[in-house]
Amino acid sequence: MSKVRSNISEVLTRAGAMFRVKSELDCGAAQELMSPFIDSMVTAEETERLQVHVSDCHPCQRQLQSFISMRSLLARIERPELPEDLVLETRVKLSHERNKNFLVRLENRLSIILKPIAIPALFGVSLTMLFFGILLGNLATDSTALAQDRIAEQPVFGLHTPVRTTEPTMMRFAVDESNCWDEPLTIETQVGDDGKVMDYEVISGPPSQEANQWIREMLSLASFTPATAFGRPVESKIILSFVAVRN
Amino acid sequence: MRREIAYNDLDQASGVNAEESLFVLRLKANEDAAYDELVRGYHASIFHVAYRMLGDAAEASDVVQEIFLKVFRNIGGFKGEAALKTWIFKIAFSEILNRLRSWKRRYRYATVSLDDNPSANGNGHNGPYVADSKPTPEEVLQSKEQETAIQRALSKLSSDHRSIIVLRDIEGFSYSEIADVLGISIGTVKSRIARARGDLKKSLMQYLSVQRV
Repeated sequence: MSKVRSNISEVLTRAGAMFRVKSELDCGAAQELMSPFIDSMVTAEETERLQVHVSDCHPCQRQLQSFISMRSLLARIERPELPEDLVLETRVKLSHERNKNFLVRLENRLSIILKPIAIPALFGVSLTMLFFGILLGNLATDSTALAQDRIAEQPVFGLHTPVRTTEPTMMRFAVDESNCWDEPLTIETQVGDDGKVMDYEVISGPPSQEANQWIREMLSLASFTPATAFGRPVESKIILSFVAVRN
Repeated sequence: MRREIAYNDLDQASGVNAEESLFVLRLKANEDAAYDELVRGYHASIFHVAYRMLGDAAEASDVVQEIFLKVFRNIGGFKGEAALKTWIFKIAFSEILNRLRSWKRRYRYATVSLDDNPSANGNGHNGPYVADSKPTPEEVLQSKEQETAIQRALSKLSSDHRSIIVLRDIEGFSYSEIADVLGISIGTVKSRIARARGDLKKSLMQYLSVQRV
């Protein structure tokens, strides 16, 4: 019985010695643990092993004390005196920057908001312009022939009526026996917006003095219904042709 | 210890809380009061970090203003994946490190070694960076021996090591916050902070022996 007890005791002693050897740290490993130890960044087991080591190793104990002492020294370091105007200057600078940036940010926000709208809007405007272009083009086509009879600076639109005449003066030419010209007479006449002749040019006709005088008299008395554009009377040109008809 | 680790994990996962989300919305809406609140809430800690990183109050003040302008310009892109504080310090560190790089280039030939005796330059100035007649932060804080010693020790560190010491040991950021701010993994934070502390301890050893308990 006593032999058994002594065996058990021996086994336990050996196991204890083995455990102690396993848990013991060398100085290098202990020093590696010192920095995390003073920051409480080691496990409970590491703490215990370090404590066991430094309790037996005086150089490591002093080393650990110096780490703790240094940590304490650094923690007690006085804060430098703050410059008086630091807060004020910082706030002023920040304020300037924020105001400056406000405009930039506003511009950015607007561009972000407008960007999705810009393409459809541009497409819409283009389409509208195209539509009106075609529409006006069609209306203008109708007035192309009339445009040639009108003064250049006058606008050309589809809502145009040409100059007309029902002037009886014109009829006298046909019934006057004294005018026995064989040659047809063609006159380009410029009619004002009041219906009166402003100017004329004989394109073809009898080259007599008498004929010219008659034309001048006839046109000075003649009255036309002026051409209109959008309901307003405008200047225009009319070609008058006279052909002698004999009974 | 377990609680701290759990807190860090939670902190990393949580991102922005409801109150902070509302505050971010107000910033995005360009609300005056929100920006005042932002400046009041963060200017001191950002200035402190900038000052510890740059070692010059005027430069730190200038960089703080630039950081707030950047926060304003970029707030529209804040998605709330990390806490607002972490996001702001990420911008801050980006700006500070840029400033540090350009500053080093500018004064490459005017740098004074920190190993020099502070009184060796004749007028008692111990300016670490610039051969300039302006008083340096170290001159202003000359009487504060402790702080001067720390600042000088920090200045000796590389910018990576200085960043991590300032964030962890001076500002008290968690590992996960540091990882977010510096854009590195938590494992890298652990190893880098251990190396940085090792380097810093060498510079402050004499001072620490006084502090030893």
